[in-house]
Amino acid sequence: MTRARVRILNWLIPVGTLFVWEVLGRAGMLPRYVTSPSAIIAALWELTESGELLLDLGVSLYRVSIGFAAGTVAGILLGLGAGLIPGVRHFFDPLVSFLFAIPKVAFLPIFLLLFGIGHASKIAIIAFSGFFPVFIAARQAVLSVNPILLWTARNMGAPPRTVFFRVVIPAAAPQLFAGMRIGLAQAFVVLFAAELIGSRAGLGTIISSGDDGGRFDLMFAGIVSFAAVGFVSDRLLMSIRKRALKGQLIGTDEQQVLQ
Amino acid sequence: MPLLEVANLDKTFALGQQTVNAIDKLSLSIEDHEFVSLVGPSGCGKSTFLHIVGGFEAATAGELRLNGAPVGPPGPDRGMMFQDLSLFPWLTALENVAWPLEMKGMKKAERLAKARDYLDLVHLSRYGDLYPGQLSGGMKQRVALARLFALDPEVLLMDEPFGALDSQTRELLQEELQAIWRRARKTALFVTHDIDESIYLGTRVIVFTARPGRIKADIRIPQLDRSGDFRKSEQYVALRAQVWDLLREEVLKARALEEA
Repeated sequence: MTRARVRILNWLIPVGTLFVWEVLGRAGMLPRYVTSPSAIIAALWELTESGELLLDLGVSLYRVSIGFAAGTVAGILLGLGAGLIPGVRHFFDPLVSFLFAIPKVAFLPIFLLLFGIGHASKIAIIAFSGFFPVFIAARQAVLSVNPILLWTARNMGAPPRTVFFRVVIPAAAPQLFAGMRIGLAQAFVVLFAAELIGSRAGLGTIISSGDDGGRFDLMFAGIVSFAAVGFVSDRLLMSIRKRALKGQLIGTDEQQVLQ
Repeated sequence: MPLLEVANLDKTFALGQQTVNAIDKLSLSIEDHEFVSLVGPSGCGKSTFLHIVGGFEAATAGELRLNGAPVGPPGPDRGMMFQDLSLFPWLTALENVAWPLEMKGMKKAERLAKARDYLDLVHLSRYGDLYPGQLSGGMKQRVALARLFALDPEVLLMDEPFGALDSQTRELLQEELQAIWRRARKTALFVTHDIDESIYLGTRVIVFTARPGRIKADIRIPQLDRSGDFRKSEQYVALRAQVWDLLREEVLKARALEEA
């Protein structure tokens, strides 16, 4: 298939789906809880006009960005430490294996007790869940740096600090980004759950209150807003990654996909 | 005083439960401006020897002196070139070549200008802005060669640098290295399993025995003219046969050792 055809198809399928969805909705052939696209847009407009959307968006973004940043920083620092220092690795490895498989939302009651009902508990649990994939990626990245690169740097007289910042970090960067991407998705999952269970503001509350009040158009508007924020942040992270990994994506399939 | 002096060098390492004797009482002295090819069956410890000279691995026993001083951890006095994957993939070809100059504390404009000269030396000046991922295997090794000369070490340590290349590319690179070396006359230790390469490049060919590595033969290559039909000359053919006979015995021994 030519590129142009692929591109047309890439648009045709989602636009076609929306169209069919809308037509079925207008013909009354969808169940009550599946509102049509136009109704969702109307609900989005309603939320925007009332100022509610902006407020909830702000609250959710605040929680997810600080939580994700904290989890990522902790994951990178401890992960790099675990990769470099056997003692740190031996301490964290069993701990991470023990905690990694538990759905982090299960800890929410504890976080609510510890940090209260406000922002802090949400930020803390988002950081906690985002930590694991980043930690695991960073730890593994350090251990899998090609030793020839390290030898080459030392051979040219680079002191350990320089080897770390100029060789280990850039060599680990592709895996760090892979871990961050998973961490980001998990941050949103946990944000949603935390806002459903114990929150008075945030995109999650739009969804839960829409659902509770039988306003399925509002519920979908909440879901769409959530998806939009997730989409934009993932794309943002990927474009930072593309810039940061200039030389390292060459020759991978992904580079062609991204172009 | 020889530039590099090796006396009674031993190297053993553990392989599972066994202790493997990789190098056994190796003694060798290398003068300034020699190009020493090291050939031997695979697993004979020739690469290990190079790593020890480079400071990347420690000898079990014995002495190793460069300019009379014991050899220490890796440093810019001994420049290592590997078979492949030694360029930093996140830097352009030019930035890779400029790296050792930066480590020496050279200012940015100066080191980039110098790096351009070194890229020119390997005929890659047009490719300075490309990343290693965009270069062919042969071009990557030429960049690595330029970087090695930018480092300007006292001894060049080359561990099968052309071993991963196709034979045409390899021959071209041998000619380039030969031409550069004729001008610079830098002392070199060149590990290879390619007999032609060892004779073509070397002023001296050292044949290693099968494990544990010892010196089986130390052959001086007369100052022959490497241009034109060198590889077809009578002298060359005779040298090649001599090295091959020596090596063949050891390759057979190495195989028997593997099958035992």
